[in-house]
Amino acid sequence: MTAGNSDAAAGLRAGSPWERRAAGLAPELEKALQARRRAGLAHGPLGLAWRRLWRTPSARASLLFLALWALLSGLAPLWPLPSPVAMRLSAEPSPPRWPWAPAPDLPQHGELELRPTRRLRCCADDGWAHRAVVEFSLADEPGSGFDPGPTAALLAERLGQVSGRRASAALEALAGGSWRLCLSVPLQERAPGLGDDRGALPGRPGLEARLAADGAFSPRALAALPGAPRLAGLRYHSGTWELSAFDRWLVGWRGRLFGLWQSGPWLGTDAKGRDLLARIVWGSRVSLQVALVAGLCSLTIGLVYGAMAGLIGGRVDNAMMRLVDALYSLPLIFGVIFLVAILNEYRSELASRGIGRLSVFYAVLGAVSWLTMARVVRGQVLRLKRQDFVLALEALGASRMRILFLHLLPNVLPIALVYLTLSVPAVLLYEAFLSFLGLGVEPPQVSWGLLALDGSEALSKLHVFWWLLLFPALAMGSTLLALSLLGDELQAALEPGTGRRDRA
Amino acid sequence: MSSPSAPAAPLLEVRGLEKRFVVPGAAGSGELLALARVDFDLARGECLALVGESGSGKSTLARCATGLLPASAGSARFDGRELIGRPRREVAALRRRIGFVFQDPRGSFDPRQRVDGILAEPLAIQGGLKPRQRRLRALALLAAVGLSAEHLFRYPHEFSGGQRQRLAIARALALEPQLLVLDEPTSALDVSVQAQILNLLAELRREFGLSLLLIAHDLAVVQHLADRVAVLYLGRLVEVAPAAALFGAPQHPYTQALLASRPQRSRPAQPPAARLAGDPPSPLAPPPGCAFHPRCPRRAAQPDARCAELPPILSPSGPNRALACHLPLPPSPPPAPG
Repeated sequence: MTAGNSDAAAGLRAGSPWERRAAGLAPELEKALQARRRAGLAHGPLGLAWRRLWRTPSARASLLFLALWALLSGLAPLWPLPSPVAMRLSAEPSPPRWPWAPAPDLPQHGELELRPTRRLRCCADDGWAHRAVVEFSLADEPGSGFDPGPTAALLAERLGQVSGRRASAALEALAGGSWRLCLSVPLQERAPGLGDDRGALPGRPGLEARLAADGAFSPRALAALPGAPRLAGLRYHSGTWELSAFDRWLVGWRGRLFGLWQSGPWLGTDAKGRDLLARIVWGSRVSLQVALVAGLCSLTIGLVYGAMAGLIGGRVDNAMMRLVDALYSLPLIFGVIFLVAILNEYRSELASRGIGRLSVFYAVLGAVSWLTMARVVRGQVLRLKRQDFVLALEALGASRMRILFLHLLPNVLPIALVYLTLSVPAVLLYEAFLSFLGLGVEPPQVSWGLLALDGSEALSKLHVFWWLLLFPALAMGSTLLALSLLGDELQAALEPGTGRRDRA
Repeated sequence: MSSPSAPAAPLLEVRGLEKRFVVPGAAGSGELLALARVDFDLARGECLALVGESGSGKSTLARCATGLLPASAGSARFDGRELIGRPRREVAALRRRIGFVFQDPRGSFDPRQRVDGILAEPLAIQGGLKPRQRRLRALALLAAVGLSAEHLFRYPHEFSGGQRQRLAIARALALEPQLLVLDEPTSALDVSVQAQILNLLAELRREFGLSLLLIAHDLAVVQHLADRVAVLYLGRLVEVAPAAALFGAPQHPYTQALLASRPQRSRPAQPPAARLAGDPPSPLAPPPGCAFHPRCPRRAAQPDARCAELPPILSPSGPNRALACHLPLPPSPPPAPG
């Protein structure tokens, strides 16, 4: 045993007794590896945790449920849902509708039946942002030799006048002597003359309102035309919903997969005639994104901040934690409102740098939700730091970074994840609250929070539109339940020794 | 000295080691002198035991002497190279030749690492072996401490206390250390397991020619394993002697009291003089002079002014032994049988 400079090789000398011993043990290692493989343990710690998680029924159900939501919300443009912002065409207000209720007795004086025909079908097609399409169905008595051409031309001309654009018409013969007439007008995003009637919804309601107001398209006028055309639908979209390239691509696939078919108002409609199912699915996009981004923010900031404070200790720790205390003592929601309000002032500047309103919202929520995480992580790091295994690692010459990243953080992570699943619901509720105050998600966009608030506003003594409250609340509640179940099981799976079942 | 063929230079040479802790308290911050100018040598192949009450600075001494805890003053040379006041990396590299076994076998492993990871960790830190080779090493280490391949993929919480301590020993052996520091290796174990661990240690020591620095408050453990014993009182070495001589004829009154406090079946009740009165004084305010003088039975019998004024110096008091006492030898009590 020489005291040379070869400290690094002290344990690795060729011909050391250990090497000889180790060489003879190769078959035994093989046996152990095989036994492990047979026991289904041939995985890293993460793989093992994953298997443990997957074996737990509640965790599996939660995972599948959350995956379902992720799929629904991530691929929302693909699903054949009505547009979440498409309103009922009629100009007069009408109450929210529940489609499964027995139909109310409507006066049927041989007039055109308004309800089914005027149901709005604002569907996303590949012309999502470019064309307005008005569909008519034309029918006359069978065998009368009805020629739909003049009617189509008349309607096309009229639509052209209303929209200020040239309308084109396409006729398609259907079985039973009826025709489908598709009129379409090209639109530009935020087309002048179309999109400025209502600021929040540039484009669409403009044309819709015009059509509704225009005498030529009133049910009565339509009924008087030869072939008694019925307005079957109007679909287009323009600019109200900024779709990314990926979403537009999805819309294209939607057209290819489902054609013009779209779901009915299965979960009812709200007071503006918007389809609740579509709104819940589209709303989940904003809500889940907020939760995800804010959760990740809180996880990263909290982990780094807490681990630093715990590891450095002493005065630095003291200063860092007093800062957290100071932030804690402020009413958090107040701080969020303050921040959002300030950032709203600089909205256009931010927007010109490509920072959207929602990203500001995400960042603000993330920035306030890391406090608890930082505290928890610091406490854990302090607890772990005092354990002998850190000393043992130091004694072996492990660097601080190695101890922190390979030994402390993996031990902190399970608890951090559990806190993450607790902070995500809080963020979802913040989102709802801020949206209610008009500081968060704004009306053309939807989120679960907004939907729930809309639903609670729709409750009145006269009539309970329960579906408006129940379904958004169910969506939110079930997601939160799945998250917290998952958090529990995740902790059990990641922390060997505290779980109910340690080994297979 | 019973150590086999010791070369002239000791493996670990500690001189004037001091450790002060700043203790923030209600009444201003006090300074705690945990180690007061401690000197000792550890010869190659020798087992030196550090003995003393709780809080006497045994663990601190071992940690400071091996550079695990920064010392306030003094020098500690391991294999001729200084450990104190050197850059962190250098000390870390040198310390790889020292293995550590800690008292609590529960807290001394990363709870999220399996045995193969735990045993491969020292090799991974050091670098230079492929994962498969590291695993083979881990297996060899397991075999060396009496565990088998079936334990390779278990978590530490799945082991009993004794098995965990075996694991700790295996990990300490991974880098082929010359010195093993055992910090109360058996105090958390029950007696039958203690014996197994002690036998294992004795065996390993023979096999690998290890030097041991054993920290213990259990004198039976010390008697079983140690060649030489150093007695600490309040951070000061009061007596250093070969184990047989120390257990046979303790010279320092504190050592005598310590030995007398052992529960013994065969020995008659000790004379009251050998029992200690009071508690050890606070290390924040150690008594002047000899730290032991307020409780010293020998001083009570023959008062001496130096005891309360001058700190005694550790000086040779016989073959291979040293003593720090102003009142070296009263008529020595007859050596206890056995």
